[in-house]
Amino acid sequence: MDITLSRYVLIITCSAGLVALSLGQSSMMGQKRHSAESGDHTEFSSGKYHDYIIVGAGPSGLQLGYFLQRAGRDYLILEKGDSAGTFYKTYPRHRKLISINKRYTGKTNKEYNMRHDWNSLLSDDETLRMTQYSEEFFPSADIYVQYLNDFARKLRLKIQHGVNVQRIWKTGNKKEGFYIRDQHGNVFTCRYLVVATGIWVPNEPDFVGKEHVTGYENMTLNLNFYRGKTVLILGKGNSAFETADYIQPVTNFVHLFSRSRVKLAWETHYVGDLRAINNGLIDTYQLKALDGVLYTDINNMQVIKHGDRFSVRLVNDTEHRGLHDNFAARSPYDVIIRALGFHFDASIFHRSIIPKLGEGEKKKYPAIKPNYESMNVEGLFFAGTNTHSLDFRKSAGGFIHGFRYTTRALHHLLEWRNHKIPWPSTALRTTQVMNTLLKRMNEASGLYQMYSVLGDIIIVNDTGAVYLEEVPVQLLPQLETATGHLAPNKVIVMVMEFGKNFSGPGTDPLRRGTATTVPKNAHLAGFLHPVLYYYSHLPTDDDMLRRPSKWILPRPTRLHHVIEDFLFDFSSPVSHVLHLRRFLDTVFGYDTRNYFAGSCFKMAMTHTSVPKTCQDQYLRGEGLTHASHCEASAVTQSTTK
Amino acid sequence: MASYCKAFVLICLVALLATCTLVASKEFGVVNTVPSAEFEDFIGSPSTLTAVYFYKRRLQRLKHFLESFDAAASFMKLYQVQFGRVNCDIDPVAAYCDKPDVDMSVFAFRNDRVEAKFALDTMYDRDAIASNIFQVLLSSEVPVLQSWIDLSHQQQRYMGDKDIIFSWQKAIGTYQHRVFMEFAFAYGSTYKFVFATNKKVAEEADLRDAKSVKEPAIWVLHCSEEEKTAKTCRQTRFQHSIVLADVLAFVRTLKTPYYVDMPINQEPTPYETMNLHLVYVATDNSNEHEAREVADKLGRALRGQAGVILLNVDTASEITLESLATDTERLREVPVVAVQLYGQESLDQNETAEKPMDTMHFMHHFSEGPLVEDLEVLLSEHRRSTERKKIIQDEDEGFDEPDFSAKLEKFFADFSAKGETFWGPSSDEEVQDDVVAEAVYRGRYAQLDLTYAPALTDKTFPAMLKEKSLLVVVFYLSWEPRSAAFLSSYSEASLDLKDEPSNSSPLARVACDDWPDVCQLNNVSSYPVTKVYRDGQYLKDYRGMLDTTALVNFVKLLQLPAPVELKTVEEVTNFREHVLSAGATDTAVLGLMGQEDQAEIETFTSAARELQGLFILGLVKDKALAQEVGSMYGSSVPGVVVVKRDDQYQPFKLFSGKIFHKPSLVKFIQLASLPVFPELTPKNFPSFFIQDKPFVILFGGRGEELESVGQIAAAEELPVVFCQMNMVSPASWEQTFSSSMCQMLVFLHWSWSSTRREECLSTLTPMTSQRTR
Repeated sequence: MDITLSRYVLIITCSAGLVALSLGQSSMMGQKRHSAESGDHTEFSSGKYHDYIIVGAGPSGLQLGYFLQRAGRDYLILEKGDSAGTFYKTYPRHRKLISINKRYTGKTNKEYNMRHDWNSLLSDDETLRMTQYSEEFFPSADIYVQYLNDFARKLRLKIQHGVNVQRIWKTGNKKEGFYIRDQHGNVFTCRYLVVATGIWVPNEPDFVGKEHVTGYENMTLNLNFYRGKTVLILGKGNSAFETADYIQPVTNFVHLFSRSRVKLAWETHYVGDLRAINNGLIDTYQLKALDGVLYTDINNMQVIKHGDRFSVRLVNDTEHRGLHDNFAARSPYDVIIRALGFHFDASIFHRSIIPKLGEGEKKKYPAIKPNYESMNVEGLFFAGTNTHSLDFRKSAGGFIHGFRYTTRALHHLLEWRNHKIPWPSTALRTTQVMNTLLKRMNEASGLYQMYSVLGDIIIVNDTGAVYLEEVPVQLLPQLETATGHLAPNKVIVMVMEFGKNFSGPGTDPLRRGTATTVPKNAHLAGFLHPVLYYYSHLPTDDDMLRRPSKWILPRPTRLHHVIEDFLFDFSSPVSHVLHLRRFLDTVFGYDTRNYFAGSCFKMAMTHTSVPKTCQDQYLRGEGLTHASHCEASAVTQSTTK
Repeated sequence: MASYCKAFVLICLVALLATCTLVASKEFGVVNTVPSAEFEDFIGSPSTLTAVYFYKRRLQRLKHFLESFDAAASFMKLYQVQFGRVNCDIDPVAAYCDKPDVDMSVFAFRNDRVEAKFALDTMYDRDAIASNIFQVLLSSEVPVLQSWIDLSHQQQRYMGDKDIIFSWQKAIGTYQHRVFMEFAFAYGSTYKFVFATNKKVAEEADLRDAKSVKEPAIWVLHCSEEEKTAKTCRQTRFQHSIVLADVLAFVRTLKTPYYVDMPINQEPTPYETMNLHLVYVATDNSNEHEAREVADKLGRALRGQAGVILLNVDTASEITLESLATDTERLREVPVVAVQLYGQESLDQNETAEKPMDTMHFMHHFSEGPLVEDLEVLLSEHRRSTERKKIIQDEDEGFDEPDFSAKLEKFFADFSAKGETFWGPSSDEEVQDDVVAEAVYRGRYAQLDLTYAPALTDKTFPAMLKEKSLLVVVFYLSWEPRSAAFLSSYSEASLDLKDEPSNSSPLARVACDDWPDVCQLNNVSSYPVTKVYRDGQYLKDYRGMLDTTALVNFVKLLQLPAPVELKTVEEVTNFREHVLSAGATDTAVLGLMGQEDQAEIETFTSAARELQGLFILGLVKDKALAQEVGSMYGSSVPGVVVVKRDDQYQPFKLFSGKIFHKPSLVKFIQLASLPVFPELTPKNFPSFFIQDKPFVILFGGRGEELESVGQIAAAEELPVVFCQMNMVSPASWEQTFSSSMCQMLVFLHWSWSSTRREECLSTLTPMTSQRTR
């Protein structure tokens, strides 16, 4: 690794120097641009500097804090509330988490069990698992707040509470160095800033009569208020349906307005779509129990008050104007609730560094690069839900069970970027690469949750391979600069993927014949399964840009789909292992079949080379003999191959 | 002399290379290897034909033949022909194996006698073998005709008695001939089967289309229906190419009636399942007699091609007529003949055609001669168009055809079999080709007794670590073949190492697929790996063979102190005797020091610790005792003696180093412990191989020979590994080297360059010449 390090010329500014230098600049700028910040000067010298500042002590802020603490970094988490997990003190409004808390899997493998524990954060402390906090499959949000605070307390994470960040700015053209001012005018400085504020600002579309609408964020939870009322809910996401489920038993009926198609999570494999636990309204709608879902563009809506009731009109309604008198929402509503989701709060940034936002549906998130850095502000990193623009509607990066892994990936990236600690890796002998791959596909939780996004990367070298776990695969072209590992030749990437054309809104994933069981059709599999991409050389940025549509990576030199498995157990000797071995043997150019000592001996005596396993194991004195029955037959068998 | 011996060494090397290419030959599934003792019984078994191949390990490219032989054997079991193989190399049947070219032919035996002998180059595939064997099997029943006169003799002989099925075949040994002979075997009592390989026989006998046919053909001569005195028999030609299913369909139609009456109530006709064209002869009451004659004649003429049905429109019910045609009036225009072509519907895809006769061809002339002609034209045109369509379809689907890919696979299989490398990519994707995985899979239901190698968890692992002063733990993956194979050795070892009073063994295990955290804490990254913990601390990895005995010995040696301190002569003797007879090791190492040799004692002690588990070291720290013991071996003090149990040529060896330097002492002990002239086995080979020296192997030496090579070896003057291989042992791999010419063989490292090989051989030549004399 010494060689690796020396290859990159690195300019590290002494952190003390940075602070000293930026101090003068900032005060100048501050005075010029923000008279309100002139008071910062005195606060600044009180030494609120940290290498890392994380804004927000929610799940991702705490998660990153844990990794920084473990790595011995100087960091501080700023939290506006008086304890961790502020968002979860309010949301979800009806207090039931929809992330599963699966306590039993029949397995003792802790890594595997994290695949089915969607709430816990990663840590070495096994008492810090949500499975130990609640017996409910969908636990209460109150318990989650308690969990987050226990996580912070037990792991002694450094959090400053009651710091409501008002403004973040940078000094000059410096790559690093941020200033953060809170509501009391305190200024914190840091070299590296990670914004982990989630997305919490409610979306409020502008339409006539919007003042008659109650927000999800402050609707009353008193059911008596809704008793015998006719309710309209704007929105088609989980919060809208969750609200509908909550009030449905006491209302006359509930209508839902949605701009686009309701997407069911079990059709799309996307946990952000409507979960079955919340879809009671679809059930009652289709079973003709008065409730219903309407497709309407909310921006074209007008709400008009008539007495105590509200009627809804569409402004540019070509369909119903004049002729038709059967507009679906023509009957007035007693209550209208807006549940249209949230967006990222970009108001805390000074206008010179307002992070660019995503486009289209992703405009609720900041636009970021695959290394979680802002598109336009260098050195500004994001963690948690607000990184979901990378995999919106594709994977789980917007959810706790997903971003706990991307946050770890961010930490590994920062360790190399800022401290020249390469991405953690394991050196493997060639003969162990397959075992490791199989072990990972059978237990790894990060690959499973962050399918199509995080992948294990195997850098093949002369003696075997270097194994990197859960790297953001979009970084593949920059693998060397992002992780600190040289990869001059062959590289294998293992990710998990759903079939490209298997699912989506309106498909029926329960239809017969969706399962693929024959290994030669493995590439047609619809359900989640491991896919291995082999590149004879690292693909370039250009290759990445020109990749085929729907592909997560450029066309590889060779591609191998491990056949999907109902039990998600990829260790069947022929269907899974044999075919994987053939793929790897082609990549490595070795025969990695196992042989008993007798066969290795015979081949060593009669051939000009022996298979890799004989070479690595038998000839080093670690050959395998069989306890009882199969050595003799194995010798004769091996000679027939 | 020297050049003779050099040549001899080279010949051996050539022989070695030649044998390498044969190692890849296939073991046989269906064809039994017949032991020489049972050979007489085998070929003498009554009333069956026996095909035998006498195998010698000398022919190249036998693989394909042996596979075909195997395939033919399983196929011909049905016909009560048994196949066998005699291995002339291992277990020769002298009467045959002694003949020089016996392996160039396949022998067919009947009742102890050689009935036929087929040259190997005519046995190119399964059909060739089967066809030839059939020919011998049925030689008396199925005559081969030489001229048309033979055929007319046959006709006269069976006139009024049996129908004759005659075939023109291009040759014996083809698929078509095999198929024909299969029918001859099955239908031989019903029909007389004859064939000719000369097409002239068919042409001169004036058989239909005989001049124009290009592919093997079959005719039926209906001699049974003729009078005894007739000269020739009426004939029907089988119109399709000779394919098993088509011939079968044809033969089955030969016994159907010439025509049948249209069944009432829409019952099926006997033609129903025969894929025949149907010819309806429609009549009314007035013409019925005439119609029956026509039907009978058409039936005879169209035998095998079409079924003839007589339909009387006066007696047939309306339902029957309506089931045949929408426009029943057309049927009433009697007399009329309507033809329904088999497969017509599907070919024309005429969607308006709902009833059979809507696609029918009607013929209104009703005289037999032209009718037959017209019908045959119609049928042959239909046949041609069907075949054309089929060809087009086949071309479209060419690459999907299983046959094609099978051929391709076979091509690659043959290709890789000829290649230099042992392990060419396997052609068959679905077949397990990992012997260890296969063995594990086959034994997957065997219960292992792992009571004394308990599975540890994240909680019990640290507890066990505290509890046991010596803990040996294997970390493994349950589904991994090598792990699973080793686990059964591990189970055996744990039973061996069981300690009665405590009812436990030092062994335990951790399944990394259940407890990845435990494995990670112990830095496990390869599977299986066995780690040793002493007093709660990690000591070392087990680096020996994954083998019961090796592991048991390792653990037993770990349980002994390192080094063992020896205070009296008795203790020294006991140590040596006890250690060597206990069996855990073949080597006892004695360190002979005086109290003042502190540095040496320290080095020796440290070496003893490093080698713990592999060797047992005894230390004498008393000058007088050390000198007394040293005098028995001629060792100075301080000194080290390696005493070997199993080395008659060099029972002990002295450490010659003046300075006690740990790495050299360790290396000395490792090398000195090896016998100087061992029998080479799979277990000890790696320890010699890593020395990077050429091997000189003596094959099947006897007393004096062993003695003298042993002495040369013990002198350790040559940079080679001397070893022996016992020819009497039945282990099959030794066959690889056995050759009457080659008694001693130099085995060079394959990683060496050619110059290094040559240098090495020239060094060795004087030595070998000395020996061979």
